[in-house]
Amino acid sequence: MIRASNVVYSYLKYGRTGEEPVSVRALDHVDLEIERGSFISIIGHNGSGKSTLAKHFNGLLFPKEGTVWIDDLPTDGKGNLAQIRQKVCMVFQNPDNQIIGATVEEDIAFGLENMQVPTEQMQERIDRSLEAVGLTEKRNENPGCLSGGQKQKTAIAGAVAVSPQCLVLDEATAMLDPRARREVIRVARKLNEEEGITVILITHFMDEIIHSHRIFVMDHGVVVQSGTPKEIFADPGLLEQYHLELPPVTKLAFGLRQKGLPLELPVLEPEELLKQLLRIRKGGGAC
Amino acid sequence: MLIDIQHLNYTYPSSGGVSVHALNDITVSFEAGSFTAIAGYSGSGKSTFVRHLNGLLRADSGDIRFQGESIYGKKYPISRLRQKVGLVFQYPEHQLFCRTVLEDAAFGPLNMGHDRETAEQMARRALERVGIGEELFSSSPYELSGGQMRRVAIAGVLAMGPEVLVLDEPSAGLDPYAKRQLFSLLKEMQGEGVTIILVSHSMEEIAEYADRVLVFYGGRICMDGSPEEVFSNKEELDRIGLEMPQIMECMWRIREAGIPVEGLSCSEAAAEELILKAMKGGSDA
Repeated sequence: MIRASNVVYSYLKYGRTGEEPVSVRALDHVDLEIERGSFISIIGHNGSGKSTLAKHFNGLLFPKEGTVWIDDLPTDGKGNLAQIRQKVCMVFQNPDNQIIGATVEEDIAFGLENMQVPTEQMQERIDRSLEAVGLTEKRNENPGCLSGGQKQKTAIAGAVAVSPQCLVLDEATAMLDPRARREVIRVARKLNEEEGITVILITHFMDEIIHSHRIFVMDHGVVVQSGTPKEIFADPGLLEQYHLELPPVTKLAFGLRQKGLPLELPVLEPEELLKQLLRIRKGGGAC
Repeated sequence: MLIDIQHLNYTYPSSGGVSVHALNDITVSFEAGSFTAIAGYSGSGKSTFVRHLNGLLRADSGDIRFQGESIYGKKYPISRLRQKVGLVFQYPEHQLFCRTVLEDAAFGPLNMGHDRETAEQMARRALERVGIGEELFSSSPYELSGGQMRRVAIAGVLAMGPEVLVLDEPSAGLDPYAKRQLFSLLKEMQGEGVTIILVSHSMEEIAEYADRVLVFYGGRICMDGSPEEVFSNKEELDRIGLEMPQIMECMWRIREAGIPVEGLSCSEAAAEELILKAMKGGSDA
């Protein structure tokens, strides 16, 4: 679906008057491949290059060196941008910055109008995307009056209406309360599982990424690790090294194991911890 | 008592005939040097409440006494209250506006009437406090990373030397490491006698750092106690739909599945011990 080869991105940072601008390398030879239909997470501390990388996936930024391909289209800014942006849609952090319609429906229609979708088809697509995110009842409301979670779902519906093959959520849950956060993640997982949309989730919340097929860890503009959640969370030192953290239950399970409980590590969810404890109590816990 | 609040009511001015009763008969007080967290869903009244603490919003009825004096008194110097009660908004870095980091942090003290030299000295101290070094003082605040910008914005409030620091979701969008740094600063300030009031969506954060939790629901305070007390009350949390810290959730699940843990806890270390003890008991039986 997406392939990045040797991607370098740098920008000029301007100092005080009279000083020469300095080149800052935000992406430093990034290689990665994202399979169609997968659910991918990208984690890394503030400033590690996650968002810069994501902006390369739909041609908001172009590599200074190397190439990003969306399917077989290189994002080189030469004419195929409209096609690329229809394949890969982004939802950003602040819901208030990306909503423009006077009603939820109109907001969703914006992308379709831009794509010159005939009016007859438009209604059907809007209906479908409203249903996909569970906002059908709110279709005629003013987005400004919705909660943060509902606004983000409106933004996702706007992206889904365009029928993208890939949805990028760039810290789309950062400003939401836990309930809204769960809702948005649930919608993203549903779109991935039921509609086969590739999802790329950028987040600081470790509990959101435990269901991903693959996690990429970034540090200083480099992809330093990639693997399944079990692989990434197997080594507590690894995440700490990159200023990240394990979910509390994973840490608890590490501690219990060190004190002699034969748990299979890593444990990613409370449910899993409970199952293992019950198994051990039944006597089947010998490792 | 440092802050004493009696029967506070606030209704947002109605738009289109619907008025929102955002705060409903709030009575609560805060001791000097305490660290209180405020939890609750969006729209539960948390942010509206904290905006009353420095007089930014004025209640329809009820009273707020700061150091024994009503802030709604006719001659009460509200500008002095705002120096004593520093309010850090959500995403405070959106409010940075000066050309340099130092100027931005000195803006508050200058407004308080200090001369530039004193104001800058206060700003320097505050910036160093939050871990922004001298080398960044003359940078534009917009060149900094998100975490640094957040710290500069907080320094702008600290520079005024507040006795109470109210923070509305200060860790939103920060990575785990930046969060830790921020909270160790807050704990340190608490140690020096500053009263901390923190609005947070993260139950983990609350459990780890706060001494007391207030849970807002529908404009009322529906729970008030230590994190252990509040997060042990599963029935009430379920009723209002608030989640608990993940460790506490583990404890509940384990207990409900019949493993005899002899207590509940939000802390990893305590949970570890309780679980080990219960599991040992289990294998003997």
